[in-house]
Amino acid sequence: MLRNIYKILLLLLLASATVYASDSSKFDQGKKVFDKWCIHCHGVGMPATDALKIVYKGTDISPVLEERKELDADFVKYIVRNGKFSMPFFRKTEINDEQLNSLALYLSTKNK
Amino acid sequence: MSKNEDTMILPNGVNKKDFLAAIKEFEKIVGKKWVFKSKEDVYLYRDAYSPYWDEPEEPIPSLAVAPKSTEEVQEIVKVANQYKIPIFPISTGKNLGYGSSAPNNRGDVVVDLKRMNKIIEVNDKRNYCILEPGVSYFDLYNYIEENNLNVMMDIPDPGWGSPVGNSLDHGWGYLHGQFRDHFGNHCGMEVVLPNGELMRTAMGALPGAKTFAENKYGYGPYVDGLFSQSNFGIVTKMGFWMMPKPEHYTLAAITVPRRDDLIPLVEILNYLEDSSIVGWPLYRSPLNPEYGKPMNPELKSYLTSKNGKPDIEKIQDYALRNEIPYWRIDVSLYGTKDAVAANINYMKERFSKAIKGSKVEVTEDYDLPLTEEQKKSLKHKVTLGIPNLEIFWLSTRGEELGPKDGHVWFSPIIPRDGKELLKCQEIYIDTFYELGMESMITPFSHPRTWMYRAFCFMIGFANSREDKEINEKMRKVYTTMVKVAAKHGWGDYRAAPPFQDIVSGVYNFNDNILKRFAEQLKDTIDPNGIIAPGRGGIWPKRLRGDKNA
Ligand SMILES: Cc1cc2nc3c(=O)[nH]c(=O)nc-3n(C[C@H](O)[C@H](O)[C@H](O)COP(=O)(O)OP(=O)(O)OC[C@H]3O[C@@H](n4cnc5c(N)ncnc54)[C@H](O)[C@@H]3O)c2cc1C
Repeated sequence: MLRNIYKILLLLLLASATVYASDSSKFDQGKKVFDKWCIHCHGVGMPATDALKIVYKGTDISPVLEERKELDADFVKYIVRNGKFSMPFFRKTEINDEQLNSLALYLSTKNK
Repeated sequence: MSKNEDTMILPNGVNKKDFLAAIKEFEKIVGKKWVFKSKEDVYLYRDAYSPYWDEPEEPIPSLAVAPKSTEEVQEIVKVANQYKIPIFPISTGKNLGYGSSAPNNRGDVVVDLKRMNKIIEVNDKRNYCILEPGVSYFDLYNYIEENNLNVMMDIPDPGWGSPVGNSLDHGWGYLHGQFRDHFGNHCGMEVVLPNGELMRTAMGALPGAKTFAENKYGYGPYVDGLFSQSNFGIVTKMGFWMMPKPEHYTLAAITVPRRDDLIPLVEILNYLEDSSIVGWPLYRSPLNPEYGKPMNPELKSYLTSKNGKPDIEKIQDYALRNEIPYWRIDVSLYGTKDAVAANINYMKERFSKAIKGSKVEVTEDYDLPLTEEQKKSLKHKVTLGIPNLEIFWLSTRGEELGPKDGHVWFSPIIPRDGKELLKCQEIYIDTFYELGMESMITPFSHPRTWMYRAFCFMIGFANSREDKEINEKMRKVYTTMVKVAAKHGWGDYRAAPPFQDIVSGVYNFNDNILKRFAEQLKDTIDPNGIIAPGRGGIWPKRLRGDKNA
């Protein structure tokens, strides 16, 4: 009986380790997507960051996306597929659904 | 039948049964995953800067197909012929301001070549590269840096486009003149013709040729030009000439105090550029406020103080009183350190002799290779072939300015001549006045100087994804501008799909012979009219009636 409990515990541990591993590789993939597609406008000193600086003036919200604490994963996905002002939307040959999920995970969990 | 099929956009002249059969065949060729047919996926191919956003004329495709190889492109073209389906190729599809990734017409099937992204060769001894259409400027730059190669590519402002797509739409860049003309700077092409056959041009026509990307002409007529801004084939490979990285780079600023100084200034700069002493000259007027900041109210008042039009004397007096140079030109110089220093001295001598009050000042001076910090701080990264997206500042929110949804570019070519530029300002100002609009042009609006033997006097008309009236008004002004410009001998070098008919229509010497010639070719090599109908104002016979009678 005790041996079975150990077995179950071990299995649970292993399972959570794989979940953790796949989440962390998704997170890394998300960072790669960000560096390839987003950073050129949303990096420090870049045009979208300058624009967001004006939007968030007087608040404690950072204009730098990678510093944001409250970004919602679905919001990130929506903006990538719908664009905003002069930011166009991205096709699936550019950012596929899997990459988009990773990007959303990266931006929504990075500072939590 | 699914709900999706009910609301399906169909390609022009194709019935639903045939279209569904063709989709099945496309899926066999590229795999289901790479045929985009749901509304959600197809809508990602809309033109985010469309002048017809959400109107019935908006060119939304019926489908997008993304092949991975030239063979797949050939198969797609064969199926398109079988069902007479109009197909529209894009390379990276970032043609924002001139159509983005959308086709020319509602319902055309987009052939998205983004997945064909092989860098076939970069040679830094003989200074060329050979690329597939999906290779972006960022991809190529990263490859060059990772492999420590001693060449740089001439790039447009946004780095996410591609050498193939950009050059096929006659795009321009920022190094020495000959490299800036991206189509002129290509060498060698592989094309899938409208019947699905594969053709290589110039040296590439010689099997086993070793100079595909080095000698432009091969033997016989030069046909590459037919495949730019047109619809005679789908390009699957192109060669480009590259510039060796220089040992030294200097950025200099030339300033002059008076408006009319532009006339001798342009003459000297033309000499410097055409002798390869300087690279790209960026013309600006310091009278313009920094982006997003308001214009000085006194200066602004002079823009309309002479019966609703600008008072040029008062503007000039304002500039002199406040010691603001009327024009400022940034020029980049490349070479060895000594040669660049000698050329700077030569420039100082020439300008000080010719223009009273002119100044030449060095603002950046670097030995290469640059450190990462130096790269980041460069004022004009594009002048050293470093891709970026910083140009998007021009549509973002400013301190005193709302954000824009994008621009539709009006891009007429005018002579590289100061007097003509000043005249062009006047004509545009008069046109805005007659239209009862605030003029987007002032007596200190500058020319764009990518074309190394001509100026482009460009206006970026704002589009909207919210307000159809803004778009309607913009379309009217754009159309008027094309006509006014043509009356003075100025014609656009490039245009978004809704304006391609009107722009190509003013190139009408001898009863439209150029268009008629292109139509004869179209009817011969693309009898089913499947490739990009209407692109460049060239319509296939079967669609000529309704769109281009
Ligand atoms: C802010 C801003 C700044 C810009 N600055 C510049 C600039 O400095 N210089 C410049 O040139 N442009 C500029 N542009 C315009 C545009 O963004 C670039 O030219 C961009 O590189 C074009 O997109 P692309 O390279 O993805 O080409 P694509 O969109 O892939 O192709 C352009 C067109 O060429 C044709 N085409 C593409 N591939 C093929 C093929 N394989 N076979 C046959 N036909 C094909 C199609 O008609 C297509 O629509 C600017 C735009 C904006 C919004």
